Amino acid sequence: MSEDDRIRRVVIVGGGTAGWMTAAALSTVLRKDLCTIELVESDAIGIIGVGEATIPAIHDFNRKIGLDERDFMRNTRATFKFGIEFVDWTRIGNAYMHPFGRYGYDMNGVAFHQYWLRTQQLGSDLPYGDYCVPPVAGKYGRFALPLSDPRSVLSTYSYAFHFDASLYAGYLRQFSERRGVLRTEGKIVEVRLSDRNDFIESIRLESGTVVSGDLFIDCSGFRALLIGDALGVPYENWQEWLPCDRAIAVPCRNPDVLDPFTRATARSAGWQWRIPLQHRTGNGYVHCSEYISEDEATTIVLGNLDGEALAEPRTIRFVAGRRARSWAGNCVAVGLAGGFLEPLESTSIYLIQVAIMKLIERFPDRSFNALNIADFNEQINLQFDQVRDFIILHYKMNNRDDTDFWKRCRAMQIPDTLEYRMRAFRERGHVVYSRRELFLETNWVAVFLGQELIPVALDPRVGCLSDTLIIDKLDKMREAIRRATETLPRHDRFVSGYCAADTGSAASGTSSR
Amino acid sequence: MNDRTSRDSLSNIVVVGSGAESAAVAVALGVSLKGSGIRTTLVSPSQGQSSTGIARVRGGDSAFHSLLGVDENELMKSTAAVYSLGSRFTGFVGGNESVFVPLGAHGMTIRLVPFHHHWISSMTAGDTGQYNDYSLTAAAAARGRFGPPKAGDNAVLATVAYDLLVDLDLYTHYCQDMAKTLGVRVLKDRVSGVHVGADGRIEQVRLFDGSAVDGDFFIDCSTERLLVGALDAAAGFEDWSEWLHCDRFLSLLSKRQREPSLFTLLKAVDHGWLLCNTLQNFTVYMLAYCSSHLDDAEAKRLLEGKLAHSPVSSMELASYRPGRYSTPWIGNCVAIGPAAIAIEPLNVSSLQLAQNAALRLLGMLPAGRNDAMLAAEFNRITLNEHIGIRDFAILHYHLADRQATPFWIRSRDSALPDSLRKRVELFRCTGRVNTDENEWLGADDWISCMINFGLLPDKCSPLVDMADAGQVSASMLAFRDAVRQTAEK
Repeated sequence: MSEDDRIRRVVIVGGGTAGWMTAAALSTVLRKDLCTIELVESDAIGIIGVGEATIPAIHDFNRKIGLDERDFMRNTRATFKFGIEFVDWTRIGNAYMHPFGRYGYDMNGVAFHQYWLRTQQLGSDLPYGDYCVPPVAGKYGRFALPLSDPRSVLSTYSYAFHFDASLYAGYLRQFSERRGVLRTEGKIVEVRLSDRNDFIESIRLESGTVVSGDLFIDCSGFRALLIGDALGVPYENWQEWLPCDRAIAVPCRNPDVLDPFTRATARSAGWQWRIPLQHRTGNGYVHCSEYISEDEATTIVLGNLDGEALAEPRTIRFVAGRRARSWAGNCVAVGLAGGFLEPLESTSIYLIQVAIMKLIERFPDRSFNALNIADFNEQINLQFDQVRDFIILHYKMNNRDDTDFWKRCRAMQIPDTLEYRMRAFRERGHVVYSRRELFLETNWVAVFLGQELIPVALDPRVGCLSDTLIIDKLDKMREAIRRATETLPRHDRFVSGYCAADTGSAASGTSSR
Repeated sequence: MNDRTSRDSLSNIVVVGSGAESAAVAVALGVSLKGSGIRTTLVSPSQGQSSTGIARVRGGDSAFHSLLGVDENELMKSTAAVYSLGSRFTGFVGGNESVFVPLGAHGMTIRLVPFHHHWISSMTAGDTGQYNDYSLTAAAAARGRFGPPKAGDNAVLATVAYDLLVDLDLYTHYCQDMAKTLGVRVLKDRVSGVHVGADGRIEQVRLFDGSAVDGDFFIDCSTERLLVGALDAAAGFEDWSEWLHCDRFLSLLSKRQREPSLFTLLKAVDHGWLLCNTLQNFTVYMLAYCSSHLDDAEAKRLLEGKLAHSPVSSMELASYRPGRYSTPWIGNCVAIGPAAIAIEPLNVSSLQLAQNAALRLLGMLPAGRNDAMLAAEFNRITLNEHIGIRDFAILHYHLADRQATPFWIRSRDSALPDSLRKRVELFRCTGRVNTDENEWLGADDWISCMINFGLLPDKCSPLVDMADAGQVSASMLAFRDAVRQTAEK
């Protein structure tokens, strides 16, 4: 390729989780003598950092950039997570987990959930979660890393992390700066475009400094300074399906038990997250302002903490949706500038990571090939749309009659793509999924069944095994899981042995989210 | 939920067809439904009449053969099969040169950038060898040495991929025999009629011996579309002849001519292409051609002229229109193999497509009459797969630079279907190929074909230049050495 076409300067606008993840990843693939990476952030602008909970896909990111897990966990006061518990979503008093793990095992090529459904037909009332390690171990606050021996049931799950997003950004900042990323402090006051208004030439800071670049990454969060304000790429509004538009966030002291999972509890007009870290628990009430006032929402979240609040509650406002295109001209939006989906399935950091990796796969030169850009946008939109559908499913399938909010969610029209998946599952327990997408068969089944979408018929191959044999096999699976999880250590003990934060520096960074 | 004893439940599946496809579907159902009380009946004329003599099916990690639980060595013995590590195309590009397109992946990812970007970029820099020097499959094929990989083999060895070339008659018998032992009823007869109920669903097929077979779910693997045709004769045939010009297929077996090669041999001829391969029991000659350029009598003479030994079969001619039916699953009947798609077996055999469809269908068997979503989903995935197969076949013609005859000139110059045009353009400008998981061929296969047929992208990933050139060439050299050493071991 011609050297003249090469990208020589990458400018990242915004230094939150998205900005520093981008910087860290690009610094591992770009040579600093050929291409500089400059990150511009303002100390005056706080970071959102709602994405304190992750999903197992984060391992792929960490591996690709070469992060050491223990070191990263220590520095971000991280804990382990092997699922999300959904409380009161179907009806008050009911709970299920969407785990990072396999349920039972498939028999004769037939998915496990088909057999479980058969035992339900036969009168069993044992929960689906009893056949999966995380929900069982989670109940007792136990955690250990999965084993590699495929014969052990303790090899059937994966895990992710809860971490302090501010510390994570700081940790990646150090990582990036060691690799030559330049950090410039300053508030952006002007974005200068090319003559045809389709390319960004430079940004001007309050100090008067002008930062020019070949490729701009917009990590400016909801402000979307580049992709939105400057380039005018429209934002597709998804509030008709995801009406929540506020979150009240507040950290609190940890309870005695350190749960190895995120909890999402449905409330009258939304839901409350609970994310346990080593040094505190993050909480927040995602709600719909049409149905509840901020004061009421604040009262509710403060009344539902595990321990004393550690800071003043803070309000975050948002609009669910995404940019029509995440990449326009020489600007790529990563993170909230590209779209926002509430953190119900902890997908914020995943969506950042996908955008970064797809950008690396499609790293441009200065000719900014249109096919390359169109291909990127198609892939990113596919990811956003699937996550959107997965989140909508939780709302659509609720059985709550206590508030208008939940009744409205149940009655709403849903996207055709979700309707298609739900109908296929209802018809015969068949899961429509694609390996190109984030959520696979086991994820969809966990939430379909958790939200009580029960198929009207089963795979006829279930009939190859006699009912007594099915019951017997499932009993054995359940027993094996129960026994194996009893051998696991308590999550808090495991964390302190594996990656306890250095308490000497524990004072810093606790107050910001 | 439906109780199992409900009248609405699936209880009788009837498979119809004369070739290996129907036998494969029947045995897959036999294995998967054993003990379920659901009965499978295969209606197939006495002789497994194959139109091509041999077929290529996936070896090694074949999901189909694992479902059957068969040992590959035993299967190969029973079907006179040989290994095929790829295809050697002679006369398609570069005059009468041969190019080899191996199965499986080339090289390894370096610094998050797929191997071929590094290889293409380093070509201009110096001696980095041929693309196929980085494929163990190609290296093994070139040296005539091959053993299937075993668990615990080194990482390079694990990159080997291979197909099996099977004798279709023997394969048909193998599947039918196995189906019988699994309790599948095999009726050696032909279908004389189909009874469709008032609700538009097939209820019964009638046979020439006067008997009738009842069923509640039907699978049609017949070239004549005996069952699906009764439901919807029109059924949206999508004609592909504007891109794929071959419409005749001639095959002939001769005495075994030479030792089997480790790959499929394809040779461009004036109005089509010729395949010649030796199995354990015979040598097969197959000619695909375009009838508007070559008449059948000439084609027969041409094929006979290729024989070095006396034929052991009569010449078989199949004529077809390339294309597919847009709704493979209609009502309670699913079209599989020749009933669903007609395409020259340049890369993928009809048997392989039938195996894929059978596996797909097993996961979507309806519990009763309520099957609209299963059908929609089966059709969606199948159609995607078929488009990928079509495009991959067209790619070979598009990239062929053989100028000798109107057939090749027309094949090369036909406007590409949008899906293929998009894929080729994306490769040209970025060096990337995206494939959908429902496609039978993955990005590695596409890239291997494009590069070996001489299509190189105008640009590769700019990240190649950002990697340390010394480190990259050291990694490449190490991989190439590992390939050579492993192939020679």
